[in-house]
Amino acid sequence: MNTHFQLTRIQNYLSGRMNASEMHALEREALEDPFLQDALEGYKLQQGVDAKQLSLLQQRLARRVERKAVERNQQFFSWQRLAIGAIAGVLFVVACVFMLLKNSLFQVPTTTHDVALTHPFEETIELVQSYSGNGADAFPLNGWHHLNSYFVAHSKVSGVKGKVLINFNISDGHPTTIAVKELALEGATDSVEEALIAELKDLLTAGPTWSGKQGELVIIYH
Amino acid sequence: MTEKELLQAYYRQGDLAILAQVYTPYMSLIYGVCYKYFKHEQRSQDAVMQIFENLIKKLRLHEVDNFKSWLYTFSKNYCLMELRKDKRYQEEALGDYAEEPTSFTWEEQDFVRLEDCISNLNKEQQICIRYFYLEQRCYQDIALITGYDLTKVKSYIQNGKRNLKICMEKK
Repeated sequence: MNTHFQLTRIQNYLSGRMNASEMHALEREALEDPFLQDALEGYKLQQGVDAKQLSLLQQRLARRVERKAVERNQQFFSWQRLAIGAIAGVLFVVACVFMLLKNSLFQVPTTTHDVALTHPFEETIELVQSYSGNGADAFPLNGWHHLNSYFVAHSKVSGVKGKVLINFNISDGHPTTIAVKELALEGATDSVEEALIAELKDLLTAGPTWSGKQGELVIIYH
Repeated sequence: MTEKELLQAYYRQGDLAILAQVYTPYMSLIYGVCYKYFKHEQRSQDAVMQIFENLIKKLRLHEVDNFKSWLYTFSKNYCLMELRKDKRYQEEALGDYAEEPTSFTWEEQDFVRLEDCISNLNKEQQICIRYFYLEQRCYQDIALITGYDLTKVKSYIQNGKRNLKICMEKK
């Protein structure tokens, strides 16, 4: 590739340093190449080629390229900063929204201990979700309030005070292998205790669906 | 790297040094074209730089097939737009330039028709075309031989060539 297409030929043509056949060749080429034709006409108007002028123009281009490189670096850094800031902001908001949604929709407890869910009315039964650190992760799909209401509505045992701690495994959404871990009832006879435990097991087995693998629950009787 | 490869590299990377490498060989031609329209040195120089500025964006958006003729049209349009902007210019008919290469295959009867077509040109065009294409004389020689003005010789040849082409394509 020539550094300047045709420049020398244009110069020679315009300054009369070409013989007739060379002139004819260039003229013919120009007839086929409008770019060359126009340029030739331009230089003719200017009355010749100014090589110095063109080399200055080349230097100007070189400076332009250098300036762009510097500019681009500056832009790049401020751009980079902006982008990092923006991405961090967006991620933060997304994370917050995600956490909020997760909590409100699925009611995953954020604390690991004893969240009391009292019923708005004075009820005789209060369920306390318990995490005693032995792997209990289950929660009722419809929420603790719903479970509480279910227990209040279906429990037939009365006149009992105290609390029962039970744990169980979840299989297909329903509690299985329900075991009583702690039983502290005031003035209850053995038969009442047995009836209560049987009722608890029945209610849990037939009750609302659970999510998770292992559940632990404290039931307080007032 | 060829011009095409350089252009592809620029299209992908946007490295100005690459674009400058492609642009530099054309600067003198572009300057000539700009001078033709502006008739002003400084303005033509600035135009060469400004066209480069415009290419920076353009050539990252489009891949150009025939760069030389594309660049010519781009540069000329730039100049014409500038002239139109300052309203000192009356629109010039375009059209004359962008002649597309024809895939014309010559048959014997075409040579006969060529002779007919040449004879159908007006006298000045006919004389100039014969000297230029058949005797391969330069404009200056033709002007000397015929006594026509040098600029007239050029336009006789340009117009004669166009008429000849039209005539030959009429089948």
